[in-house]
Amino acid sequence: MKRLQDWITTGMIAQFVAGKLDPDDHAMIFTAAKADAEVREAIFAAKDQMMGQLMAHMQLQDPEALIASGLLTAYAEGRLDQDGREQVEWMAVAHPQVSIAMDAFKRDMIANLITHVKSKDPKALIESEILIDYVLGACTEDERREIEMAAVFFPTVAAELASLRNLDAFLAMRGAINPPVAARSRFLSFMEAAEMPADGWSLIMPPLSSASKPADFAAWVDRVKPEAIHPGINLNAIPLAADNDMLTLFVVLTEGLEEETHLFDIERFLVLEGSCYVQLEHEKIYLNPGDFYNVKKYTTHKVVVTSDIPCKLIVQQLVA
Amino acid sequence: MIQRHSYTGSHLPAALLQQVGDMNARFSREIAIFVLDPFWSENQQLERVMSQGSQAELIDQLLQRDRKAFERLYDDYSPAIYGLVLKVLRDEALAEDALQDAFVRIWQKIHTYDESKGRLFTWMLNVARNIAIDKLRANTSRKAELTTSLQPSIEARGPSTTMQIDHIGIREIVDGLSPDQKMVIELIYFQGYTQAEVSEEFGIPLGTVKSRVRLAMNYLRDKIE
Repeated sequence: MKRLQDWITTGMIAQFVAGKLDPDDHAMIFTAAKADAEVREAIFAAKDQMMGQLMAHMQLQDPEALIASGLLTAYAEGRLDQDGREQVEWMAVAHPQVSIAMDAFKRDMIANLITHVKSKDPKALIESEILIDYVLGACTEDERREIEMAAVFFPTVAAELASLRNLDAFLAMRGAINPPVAARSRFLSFMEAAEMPADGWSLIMPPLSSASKPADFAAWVDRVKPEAIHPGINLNAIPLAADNDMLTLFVVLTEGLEEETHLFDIERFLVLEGSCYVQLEHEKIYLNPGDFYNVKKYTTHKVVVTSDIPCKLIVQQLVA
Repeated sequence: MIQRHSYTGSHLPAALLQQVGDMNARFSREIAIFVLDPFWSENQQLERVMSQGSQAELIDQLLQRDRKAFERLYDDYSPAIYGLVLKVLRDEALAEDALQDAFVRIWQKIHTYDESKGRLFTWMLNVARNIAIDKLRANTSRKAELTTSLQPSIEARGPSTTMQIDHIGIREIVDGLSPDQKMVIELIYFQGYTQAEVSEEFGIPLGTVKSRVRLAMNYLRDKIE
Protein backbone atom coordinates (compact mmCIF):
# COMPACT_ATOMS: atom_id res chain seq x y z
CA MET A 1 0.00 0.00 0.00
CA LYS A 2 1.68 3.13 -1.22
CA ARG A 3 0.05 5.51 1.21
CA LEU A 4 1.28 3.45 4.15
CA GLN A 5 4.80 3.33 2.72
CA ASP A 6 4.75 7.11 2.44
CA TRP A 7 3.63 7.45 6.02
CA ILE A 8 6.42 5.17 7.20
CA THR A 9 9.17 6.85 5.17
CA THR A 10 8.09 10.37 6.08
CA GLY A 11 8.07 9.37 9.74
CA MET A 12 4.37 10.00 10.19
CA ILE A 13 3.76 6.60 11.74
CA ALA A 14 6.56 7.19 14.23
CA GLN A 15 5.14 10.61 15.04
CA PHE A 16 1.70 9.07 15.45
CA VAL A 17 3.11 6.62 17.99
CA ALA A 18 4.91 9.42 19.80
CA GLY A 19 1.67 11.44 19.87
CA LYS A 20 3.32 14.30 17.97
CA LEU A 21 1.02 14.63 14.96
CA ASP A 22 -1.42 17.48 14.66
CA PRO A 23 -5.00 16.39 15.40
CA ASP A 24 -6.07 16.13 11.73
CA ASP A 25 -3.17 13.90 10.71
CA HIS A 26 -3.58 11.90 13.89
CA ALA A 27 -7.25 11.32 13.11
CA MET A 28 -6.41 10.36 9.52
CA ILE A 29 -3.94 7.67 10.61
CA PHE A 30 -6.20 6.52 13.40
CA THR A 31 -9.08 6.08 10.95
CA ALA A 32 -6.84 4.22 8.52
CA ALA A 33 -5.59 1.96 11.32
CA LYS A 34 -9.14 1.12 12.32
CA ALA A 35 -9.92 -0.05 8.81
CA ASP A 36 -6.65 -1.67 7.84
CA ALA A 37 -4.71 -4.36 9.69
CA GLU A 38 -1.53 -3.49 7.76
CA VAL A 39 -1.55 0.00 9.15
CA ARG A 40 -2.02 -1.46 12.63
CA GLU A 41 0.97 -3.75 12.09
CA ALA A 42 3.08 -0.78 11.04
CA ILE A 43 2.01 1.07 14.18
CA PHE A 44 2.93 -1.95 16.29
CA ALA A 45 6.34 -2.12 14.72
CA ALA A 46 6.87 1.59 15.29
CA LYS A 47 5.81 1.21 18.93
CA ASP A 48 8.25 -1.64 19.47
CA GLN A 49 10.98 0.38 17.87
CA MET A 50 10.23 3.43 19.97
CA MET A 51 10.15 1.39 23.15
CA GLY A 52 13.44 -0.29 22.19
CA GLN A 53 15.11 3.05 21.45
CA LEU A 54 13.84 4.53 24.67
CA MET A 55 15.19 1.61 26.70
CA ALA A 56 18.52 1.71 24.86
CA HIS A 57 18.73 5.43 25.53
CA MET A 58 17.93 4.97 29.22
CA GLN A 59 20.50 2.21 29.54
CA LEU A 60 23.17 4.64 28.36
CA GLN A 61 22.25 7.18 31.06
CA ASP A 62 24.15 7.16 34.32
CA PRO A 63 21.87 5.82 37.09
CA GLU A 64 24.14 7.08 39.88
CA ALA A 65 23.93 10.61 38.51
CA LEU A 66 20.17 10.41 38.59
CA ILE A 67 20.17 9.09 42.15
CA ALA A 68 22.49 11.92 43.24
CA SER A 69 20.49 14.59 41.38
CA GLY A 70 17.60 14.89 43.80
CA LEU A 71 15.12 14.06 41.06
CA LEU A 72 14.04 10.95 42.94
CA THR A 73 12.99 12.99 45.96
CA ALA A 74 11.03 15.28 43.69
CA TYR A 75 9.48 12.22 42.12
CA ALA A 76 8.62 10.67 45.48
CA GLU A 77 7.00 13.93 46.56
CA GLY A 78 4.95 14.13 43.37
CA ARG A 79 6.60 17.39 42.28
CA LEU A 80 7.60 16.32 38.76
CA ASP A 81 5.66 17.06 35.62
CA GLN A 82 4.62 14.22 33.35
CA ASP A 83 7.85 14.23 31.29
CA GLY A 84 9.98 14.20 34.42
CA ARG A 85 7.92 11.45 35.95
CA GLU A 86 8.18 9.32 32.84
CA GLN A 87 11.93 9.84 32.64
CA VAL A 88 12.38 8.64 36.21
CA GLU A 89 10.08 5.68 35.67
CA TRP A 90 11.91 4.58 32.53
CA MET A 91 15.23 4.91 34.32
CA ALA A 92 13.84 2.71 37.07
CA VAL A 93 12.83 0.11 34.50
CA ALA A 94 16.24 0.26 32.80
CA HIS A 95 18.37 0.33 35.98
CA PRO A 96 17.50 -1.81 39.02
CA GLN A 97 19.54 0.44 41.35
CA VAL A 98 17.31 3.41 40.42
CA SER A 99 14.26 1.35 41.19
CA ILE A 100 15.70 0.34 44.57
CA ALA A 101 16.66 3.92 45.46
CA MET A 102 13.28 5.16 44.33
CA ASP A 103 11.49 2.63 46.51
CA ALA A 104 13.59 3.66 49.50
CA PHE A 105 12.75 7.34 48.98
CA LYS A 106 9.10 6.56 48.51
CA ARG A 107 8.93 4.34 51.57
CA ASP A 108 10.50 6.97 53.81
CA MET A 109 8.35 9.72 52.52
CA ILE A 110 5.17 7.71 52.72
CA ALA A 111 5.96 6.55 56.24
CA ASN A 112 6.51 10.19 57.28
CA LEU A 113 3.33 11.30 55.61
CA ILE A 114 1.28 8.54 57.22
CA THR A 115 2.68 9.45 60.66
CA HIS A 116 1.94 13.10 59.94
CA VAL A 117 -1.65 12.47 58.87
CA LYS A 118 -2.32 10.02 61.70
CA SER A 119 -1.15 12.61 64.21
CA LYS A 120 -3.83 15.05 63.05
CA ASP A 121 -6.92 15.71 65.10
CA PRO A 122 -9.86 14.56 62.94
CA LYS A 123 -12.23 16.85 64.81
CA ALA A 124 -10.10 19.90 64.04
CA LEU A 125 -9.91 18.83 60.41
CA ILE A 126 -13.69 18.59 60.22
CA GLU A 127 -14.17 21.94 61.91
CA SER A 128 -11.72 23.73 59.63
CA GLU A 129 -12.76 24.88 56.14
CA ILE A 130 -10.31 22.65 54.35
CA LEU A 131 -12.79 19.87 53.57
CA ILE A 132 -15.10 22.36 51.88
CA ASP A 133 -12.17 23.70 49.87
CA TYR A 134 -11.39 20.14 48.91
CA VAL A 135 -14.87 19.31 47.68
CA LEU A 136 -14.97 22.54 45.70
CA GLY A 137 -11.63 21.68 44.10
CA ALA A 138 -9.96 24.68 45.72
CA CYS A 139 -7.12 23.13 47.72
CA THR A 140 -3.52 22.39 46.86
CA GLU A 141 -2.22 18.99 45.76
CA ASP A 142 -0.56 18.44 49.15
CA GLU A 143 -3.77 19.27 50.97
CA ARG A 144 -5.74 17.03 48.65
CA ARG A 145 -3.48 14.09 49.38
CA GLU A 146 -3.61 14.68 53.13
CA ILE A 147 -7.40 14.86 53.10
CA GLU A 148 -7.80 11.71 51.06
CA MET A 149 -5.39 9.91 53.40
CA ALA A 150 -7.14 11.27 56.49
CA ALA A 151 -10.39 9.87 55.12
CA VAL A 152 -8.76 6.44 55.02
CA PHE A 153 -7.56 6.66 58.64
CA PHE A 154 -10.46 8.52 60.29
CA PRO A 155 -14.04 7.34 59.69
CA THR A 156 -15.42 10.66 60.94
CA VAL A 157 -13.46 12.54 58.26
CA ALA A 158 -14.68 10.07 55.64
CA ALA A 159 -18.27 10.60 56.79
CA GLU A 160 -17.95 14.40 56.71
CA LEU A 161 -16.43 14.24 53.25
CA ALA A 162 -19.21 11.94 52.04
CA SER A 163 -21.80 14.34 53.41
CA LEU A 164 -20.20 17.36 51.69
CA ARG A 165 -19.97 15.42 48.45
CA ASN A 166 -23.61 14.46 48.78
CA LEU A 167 -24.53 18.12 49.12
CA ASP A 168 -22.49 18.87 45.99
CA ALA A 169 -24.25 16.06 44.11
CA PHE A 170 -27.61 17.20 45.44
CA LEU A 171 -27.13 20.78 44.32
CA ALA A 172 -25.98 19.59 40.90
CA MET A 173 -28.91 17.19 40.44
CA ARG A 174 -31.39 19.79 41.57
CA GLY A 175 -29.86 22.39 39.28
CA ALA A 176 -30.03 20.06 36.28
CA ILE A 177 -30.96 21.63 32.95
CA ASN A 178 -31.49 19.54 29.83
CA PRO A 179 -28.70 20.24 27.37
CA PRO A 180 -29.51 20.91 23.70
CA VAL A 181 -30.40 17.68 21.86
CA ALA A 182 -27.55 18.27 19.40
CA ALA A 183 -25.04 17.94 22.23
CA ARG A 184 -25.96 14.30 22.64
CA SER A 185 -25.28 13.41 19.02
CA ARG A 186 -22.03 15.33 19.22
CA PHE A 187 -20.85 13.11 22.05
CA LEU A 188 -22.09 9.95 20.33
CA SER A 189 -20.20 10.94 17.16
CA PHE A 190 -17.07 11.41 19.19
CA MET A 191 -17.43 7.90 20.65
CA GLU A 192 -18.08 6.40 17.25
CA ALA A 193 -14.97 8.01 15.79
CA ALA A 194 -12.87 6.86 18.74
CA GLU A 195 -14.17 3.32 18.81
CA MET A 196 -11.78 0.49 18.16
CA PRO A 197 -12.17 -2.44 15.77
CA ALA A 198 -12.45 -5.86 17.41
CA ASP A 199 -8.69 -6.37 17.51
CA GLY A 200 -8.12 -2.67 17.96
CA TRP A 201 -7.11 -2.86 21.58
CA SER A 202 -3.82 -4.02 20.23
CA LEU A 203 -3.36 -0.42 19.08
CA ILE A 204 -4.12 1.18 22.38
CA MET A 205 -3.43 -0.57 25.67
CA PRO A 206 -6.76 -1.42 27.30
CA PRO A 207 -7.20 -0.29 30.89
CA LEU A 208 -7.51 -3.22 33.29
CA SER A 209 -10.86 -3.87 34.88
CA SER A 210 -12.53 -6.81 36.57
CA ALA A 211 -13.86 -7.75 33.13
CA SER A 212 -10.32 -8.08 31.71
CA LYS A 213 -9.17 -11.47 30.51
CA PRO A 214 -5.60 -12.70 29.96
CA ALA A 215 -6.45 -13.13 26.26
CA ASP A 216 -6.97 -9.35 25.97
CA PHE A 217 -3.23 -8.93 26.53
CA ALA A 218 -1.98 -11.89 24.51
CA ALA A 219 -1.00 -9.71 21.55
CA TRP A 220 1.14 -7.56 23.83
CA VAL A 221 2.69 -10.34 25.89
CA ASP A 222 3.49 -12.45 22.81
CA ARG A 223 5.74 -9.66 21.58
CA VAL A 224 7.95 -9.81 24.67
CA LYS A 225 11.23 -11.48 23.71
CA PRO A 226 12.10 -14.47 25.92
CA GLU A 227 15.60 -13.10 26.54
CA ALA A 228 14.05 -10.01 28.13
CA ILE A 229 13.21 -12.15 31.16
CA HIS A 230 16.13 -13.01 33.41
CA PRO A 231 15.61 -16.24 35.31
CA GLY A 232 16.62 -16.25 38.96
CA ILE A 233 15.54 -12.65 39.54
CA ASN A 234 12.55 -12.06 41.82
CA LEU A 235 11.08 -9.24 39.79
CA ASN A 236 11.18 -8.89 36.02
CA ALA A 237 9.15 -5.92 34.82
CA ILE A 238 8.94 -5.37 31.10
CA PRO A 239 7.18 -2.24 29.90
CA LEU A 240 4.52 -2.98 27.29
CA ALA A 241 3.11 0.46 26.77
CA ALA A 242 3.14 3.93 28.21
CA ASP A 243 0.20 5.98 27.12
CA ASN A 244 -2.95 7.61 28.36
CA ASP A 245 -1.37 8.39 31.78
CA MET A 246 -0.81 4.72 32.22
CA LEU A 247 2.30 2.56 32.39
CA THR A 248 1.62 -1.08 31.58
CA LEU A 249 4.14 -3.70 32.62
CA PHE A 250 4.44 -7.39 32.04
CA VAL A 251 5.68 -8.66 35.39
CA VAL A 252 7.25 -12.03 36.16
CA LEU A 253 7.51 -12.55 39.89
CA THR A 254 9.15 -15.48 41.66
CA GLU A 255 8.77 -14.48 45.33
CA GLY A 256 6.69 -11.36 45.66
CA LEU A 257 6.64 -7.59 46.09
CA GLU A 258 7.67 -5.80 49.25
CA GLU A 259 5.20 -3.84 51.27
CA GLU A 260 4.26 -0.53 49.66
CA THR A 261 1.64 2.21 49.68
CA HIS A 262 0.60 4.21 46.64
CA LEU A 263 0.03 7.90 47.15
CA PHE A 264 0.14 9.22 43.64
CA ASP A 265 -0.94 6.33 41.55
CA ILE A 266 -3.40 3.53 41.36
CA GLU A 267 -2.05 0.06 40.68
CA ARG A 268 -4.15 -2.63 39.05
CA PHE A 269 -3.14 -6.11 38.10
CA LEU A 270 -4.34 -9.18 36.32
CA VAL A 271 -2.85 -12.62 36.97
CA LEU A 272 -1.91 -14.42 33.75
CA GLU A 273 -0.14 -17.48 35.14
CA GLY A 274 0.74 -18.90 38.57
CA SER A 275 -0.86 -17.60 41.74
CA CYS A 276 -0.24 -15.15 44.58
CA TYR A 277 -1.94 -13.36 47.43
CA VAL A 278 -2.19 -9.70 48.29
CA GLN A 279 -1.61 -9.01 51.98
CA LEU A 280 -3.53 -5.99 53.23
CA GLU A 281 -3.59 -4.73 56.79
CA HIS A 282 -6.37 -7.05 57.92
CA GLU A 283 -6.98 -9.24 54.95
CA LYS A 284 -5.38 -11.67 52.51
CA ILE A 285 -6.71 -11.88 48.96
CA TYR A 286 -5.79 -14.96 46.95
CA LEU A 287 -5.44 -14.54 43.20
CA ASN A 288 -5.38 -17.12 40.41
CA PRO A 289 -5.03 -16.83 36.65
CA GLY A 290 -7.67 -14.47 35.28
CA ASP A 291 -8.14 -12.68 38.63
CA PHE A 292 -8.03 -8.90 38.72
CA TYR A 293 -7.02 -6.78 41.68
CA ASN A 294 -7.23 -3.02 42.17
CA VAL A 295 -4.82 -1.67 44.79
CA LYS A 296 -6.56 1.28 46.32
CA LYS A 297 -4.63 4.44 46.90
CA TYR A 298 -3.25 4.93 50.41
CA THR A 299 -3.59 1.22 51.18
CA THR A 300 -0.49 -0.62 52.36
CA HIS A 301 -0.10 -3.94 50.64
CA LYS A 302 2.41 -6.59 49.69
CA VAL A 303 2.29 -9.46 47.21
CA VAL A 304 3.45 -13.02 47.92
CA VAL A 305 3.74 -15.66 45.17
CA THR A 306 2.15 -18.98 46.14
CA SER A 307 2.75 -21.04 42.99
CA ASP A 308 5.83 -23.14 42.24
CA ILE A 309 6.11 -21.49 38.86
CA PRO A 310 6.70 -17.71 38.62
CA CYS A 311 3.58 -15.61 38.79
CA LYS A 312 3.03 -13.66 35.57
CA LEU A 313 0.95 -10.51 35.75
CA ILE A 314 -0.13 -7.49 33.79
CA VAL A 315 0.47 -4.51 36.06
CA GLN A 316 -0.87 -1.04 35.29
CA GLN A 317 0.18 2.03 37.18
CA LEU A 318 -1.81 5.13 36.57
CA VAL A 319 -1.40 8.62 37.77
CA ALA A 320 -4.64 9.67 39.37
CA MET B 1 -35.76 16.58 52.91
CA ILE B 2 -35.54 14.51 49.75
CA GLN B 3 -38.87 13.00 48.93
CA ARG B 4 -38.56 9.25 48.65
CA HIS B 5 -40.99 7.32 46.52
CA SER B 6 -41.54 3.68 47.24
CA TYR B 7 -42.82 2.76 43.83
CA THR B 8 -42.65 -0.76 42.51
CA GLY B 9 -42.55 -1.52 38.83
CA SER B 10 -45.34 -4.08 39.06
CA HIS B 11 -47.95 -1.33 39.37
CA LEU B 12 -47.10 0.03 35.96
CA PRO B 13 -49.59 -0.15 33.14
CA ALA B 14 -48.20 -2.50 30.52
CA ALA B 15 -49.09 -0.08 27.73
CA LEU B 16 -46.67 2.48 29.11
CA LEU B 17 -43.91 -0.05 29.20
CA GLN B 18 -44.70 -0.98 25.61
CA GLN B 19 -44.24 2.58 24.48
CA VAL B 20 -40.57 2.53 25.14
CA GLY B 21 -39.87 -0.20 22.66
CA ASP B 22 -36.37 -1.53 22.53
CA MET B 23 -35.13 -0.02 25.76
CA ASN B 24 -34.21 -2.60 28.31
CA ALA B 25 -36.53 -3.29 31.20
CA ARG B 26 -34.74 -1.27 33.83
CA PHE B 27 -34.66 1.90 31.80
CA SER B 28 -38.07 1.47 30.29
CA ARG B 29 -39.51 1.26 33.78
CA GLU B 30 -37.85 4.48 34.79
CA ILE B 31 -38.98 6.28 31.68
CA ALA B 32 -42.52 5.03 32.09
CA ILE B 33 -42.60 6.17 35.67
CA PHE B 34 -41.27 9.53 34.59
CA VAL B 35 -44.37 9.85 32.43
CA LEU B 36 -46.56 9.22 35.45
CA ASP B 37 -44.67 11.43 37.85
CA PRO B 38 -42.33 14.07 36.54
CA PHE B 39 -40.45 14.23 39.82
CA TRP B 40 -40.01 10.52 40.21
CA SER B 41 -37.07 10.24 37.87
CA GLU B 42 -35.26 13.13 39.47
CA ASN B 43 -35.68 11.71 42.93
CA GLN B 44 -34.74 8.22 41.86
CA GLN B 45 -31.71 9.51 40.06
CA LEU B 46 -30.74 11.50 43.08
CA GLU B 47 -31.13 8.45 45.23
CA ARG B 48 -29.07 6.37 42.86
CA VAL B 49 -26.36 9.01 42.80
CA MET B 50 -26.31 9.40 46.54
CA SER B 51 -26.76 5.77 47.51
CA GLN B 52 -23.79 3.75 48.58
CA GLY B 53 -24.94 0.92 46.33
CA SER B 54 -22.57 -0.75 43.93
CA GLN B 55 -21.33 1.19 40.96
CA ALA B 56 -18.61 -1.35 40.22
CA GLU B 57 -20.47 -2.94 37.34
CA LEU B 58 -21.04 0.39 35.61
CA ILE B 59 -17.40 1.32 36.06
CA ASP B 60 -16.30 -1.97 34.53
CA GLN B 61 -18.46 -1.30 31.49
CA LEU B 62 -17.08 2.21 31.21
CA LEU B 63 -13.52 0.91 31.46
CA GLN B 64 -14.27 -1.38 28.53
CA ARG B 65 -15.35 1.75 26.64
CA ASP B 66 -18.83 0.26 26.32
CA ARG B 67 -20.72 2.76 24.18
CA LYS B 68 -24.11 1.85 25.60
CA ALA B 69 -22.81 2.38 29.12
CA PHE B 70 -21.46 5.81 28.17
CA GLU B 71 -24.75 6.66 26.52
CA ARG B 72 -26.56 5.81 29.74
CA LEU B 73 -24.05 7.82 31.70
CA TYR B 74 -24.65 10.75 29.37
CA ASP B 75 -28.43 10.43 29.62
CA ASP B 76 -28.34 10.15 33.40
CA TYR B 77 -25.91 12.93 34.17
CA SER B 78 -25.66 15.37 31.28
CA PRO B 79 -28.50 17.56 32.65
CA ALA B 80 -26.75 17.91 36.02
CA ILE B 81 -23.42 18.60 34.34
CA TYR B 82 -24.91 20.99 31.81
CA GLY B 83 -26.72 22.82 34.61
CA LEU B 84 -23.46 23.17 36.50
CA VAL B 85 -21.34 24.40 33.58
CA LEU B 86 -24.08 26.72 32.37
CA LYS B 87 -24.22 28.36 35.79
CA VAL B 88 -20.48 28.83 35.79
CA LEU B 89 -20.21 30.07 32.19
CA ARG B 90 -23.59 31.80 31.70
CA ASP B 91 -23.37 31.25 27.98
CA GLU B 92 -25.17 28.43 26.23
CA ALA B 93 -22.60 27.92 23.45
CA LEU B 94 -19.68 27.86 25.89
CA ALA B 95 -21.63 25.58 28.20
CA GLU B 96 -22.36 23.16 25.38
CA ASP B 97 -18.64 23.04 24.55
CA ALA B 98 -17.82 22.49 28.20
CA LEU B 99 -20.35 19.67 28.40
CA GLN B 100 -18.79 17.98 25.38
CA ASP B 101 -15.26 18.49 26.74
CA ALA B 102 -16.34 17.08 30.08
CA PHE B 103 -17.80 13.89 28.61
CA VAL B 104 -14.84 13.43 26.27
CA ARG B 105 -12.50 13.77 29.23
CA ILE B 106 -14.60 11.36 31.28
CA TRP B 107 -14.43 8.92 28.37
CA GLN B 108 -10.67 9.34 28.05
CA LYS B 109 -9.83 9.36 31.74
CA ILE B 110 -12.31 6.93 33.23
CA HIS B 111 -9.45 4.60 34.13
CA THR B 112 -7.94 7.26 36.38
CA TYR B 113 -11.06 7.43 38.55
CA ASP B 114 -10.73 5.73 41.91
CA GLU B 115 -12.76 5.56 45.06
CA SER B 116 -10.59 7.99 47.00
CA LYS B 117 -12.23 10.67 44.86
CA GLY B 118 -15.69 9.79 46.09
CA ARG B 119 -18.45 8.38 43.99
CA LEU B 120 -18.28 8.42 40.19
CA PHE B 121 -20.75 11.30 39.94
CA THR B 122 -18.68 13.43 42.33
CA TRP B 123 -15.62 12.83 40.19
CA MET B 124 -17.59 13.70 37.05
CA LEU B 125 -18.74 16.94 38.66
CA ASN B 126 -15.14 17.78 39.49
CA VAL B 127 -14.03 17.12 35.93
CA ALA B 128 -16.84 19.31 34.59
CA ARG B 129 -16.32 22.08 37.15
CA ASN B 130 -12.61 22.29 36.35
CA ILE B 131 -13.29 22.45 32.63
CA ALA B 132 -15.90 25.17 33.05
CA ILE B 133 -13.68 27.21 35.37
CA ASP B 134 -10.75 26.90 32.92
CA LYS B 135 -12.99 28.14 30.11
CA LEU B 136 -14.20 31.01 32.25
CA ARG B 137 -10.65 32.02 33.14
CA ALA B 138 -9.51 31.69 29.53
CA ASN B 139 -12.13 34.28 28.76
CA THR B 140 -10.96 37.08 31.01
CA SER B 141 -13.20 39.72 29.51
CA ARG B 142 -16.21 37.64 30.41
CA LYS B 143 -14.96 37.29 33.91
CA ALA B 144 -14.51 41.05 34.25
CA GLU B 145 -18.01 41.62 32.91
CA LEU B 146 -19.34 39.00 35.26
CA THR B 147 -17.65 40.51 38.27
CA THR B 148 -18.86 44.02 37.64
CA SER B 149 -22.40 42.92 36.98
CA LEU B 150 -22.63 40.60 39.92
CA GLN B 151 -22.54 42.86 42.95
CA PRO B 152 -25.57 45.02 42.13
CA SER B 153 -27.53 42.08 40.81
CA ILE B 154 -27.15 40.11 43.99
CA GLU B 155 -28.10 43.02 46.18
CA ALA B 156 -30.98 44.19 44.06
CA ARG B 157 -32.74 41.11 42.97
CA GLY B 158 -32.98 38.77 45.90
CA PRO B 159 -33.44 35.13 45.23
CA SER B 160 -35.47 35.04 42.05
CA THR B 161 -33.34 36.04 39.05
CA THR B 162 -32.90 33.71 36.12
CA MET B 163 -30.03 31.32 36.01
CA GLN B 164 -29.47 31.55 39.71
CA ILE B 165 -30.09 28.80 42.18
CA ASP B 166 -33.78 28.93 41.57
CA HIS B 167 -34.62 25.45 40.36
CA ILE B 168 -37.39 23.40 41.88
CA GLY B 169 -36.55 22.49 45.41
CA ILE B 170 -33.38 24.49 45.60
CA ARG B 171 -35.05 27.84 45.89
CA GLU B 172 -37.07 26.97 48.95
CA ILE B 173 -34.03 25.45 50.57
CA VAL B 174 -31.72 28.29 49.67
CA ASP B 175 -34.28 30.87 50.81
CA GLY B 176 -33.51 29.87 54.36
CA LEU B 177 -29.99 31.25 54.01
CA SER B 178 -29.12 34.79 54.98
CA PRO B 179 -28.38 37.12 52.02
CA ASP B 180 -24.65 36.99 52.86
CA GLN B 181 -24.63 33.22 52.86
CA LYS B 182 -26.68 33.10 49.68
CA MET B 183 -24.18 35.33 47.94
CA VAL B 184 -21.13 33.21 48.82
CA ILE B 185 -22.86 29.97 47.85
CA GLU B 186 -23.90 31.54 44.56
CA LEU B 187 -20.38 32.72 43.79
CA ILE B 188 -18.55 29.64 44.94
CA TYR B 189 -20.90 26.90 43.90
CA PHE B 190 -22.21 28.27 40.69
CA GLN B 191 -19.71 30.79 39.41
CA GLY B 192 -16.45 29.07 39.96
CA TYR B 193 -15.04 31.55 42.46
CA THR B 194 -12.62 30.30 45.07
CA GLN B 195 -13.15 31.51 48.60
CA ALA B 196 -9.98 33.64 48.27
CA GLU B 197 -11.30 35.26 45.09
CA VAL B 198 -14.59 36.15 46.76
CA SER B 199 -12.63 37.73 49.57
CA GLU B 200 -10.42 39.70 47.20
CA GLU B 201 -13.03 40.86 44.71
CA PHE B 202 -15.75 41.78 47.16
CA GLY B 203 -13.50 43.07 49.92
CA ILE B 204 -14.70 40.59 52.51
CA PRO B 205 -12.08 39.15 54.90
CA LEU B 206 -11.23 35.56 53.96
CA GLY B 207 -12.14 34.28 57.42
CA THR B 208 -15.60 35.81 57.05
CA VAL B 209 -16.08 34.25 53.61
CA LYS B 210 -15.08 30.87 54.97
CA SER B 211 -17.35 31.02 57.96
CA ARG B 212 -20.27 32.11 55.76
CA VAL B 213 -19.66 29.20 53.40
CA ARG B 214 -19.41 26.82 56.35
CA LEU B 215 -22.65 28.06 57.93
CA ALA B 216 -24.44 27.95 54.58
CA MET B 217 -23.28 24.45 53.80
CA ASN B 218 -24.16 23.14 57.23
CA TYR B 219 -27.61 24.67 56.87
CA LEU B 220 -28.10 23.12 53.41
CA ARG B 221 -26.90 19.73 54.62
CA ASP B 222 -29.34 19.78 57.51
CA LYS B 223 -32.10 20.52 55.03
CA ILE B 224 -31.33 17.69 52.65
CA GLU B 225 -30.24 14.96 55.01
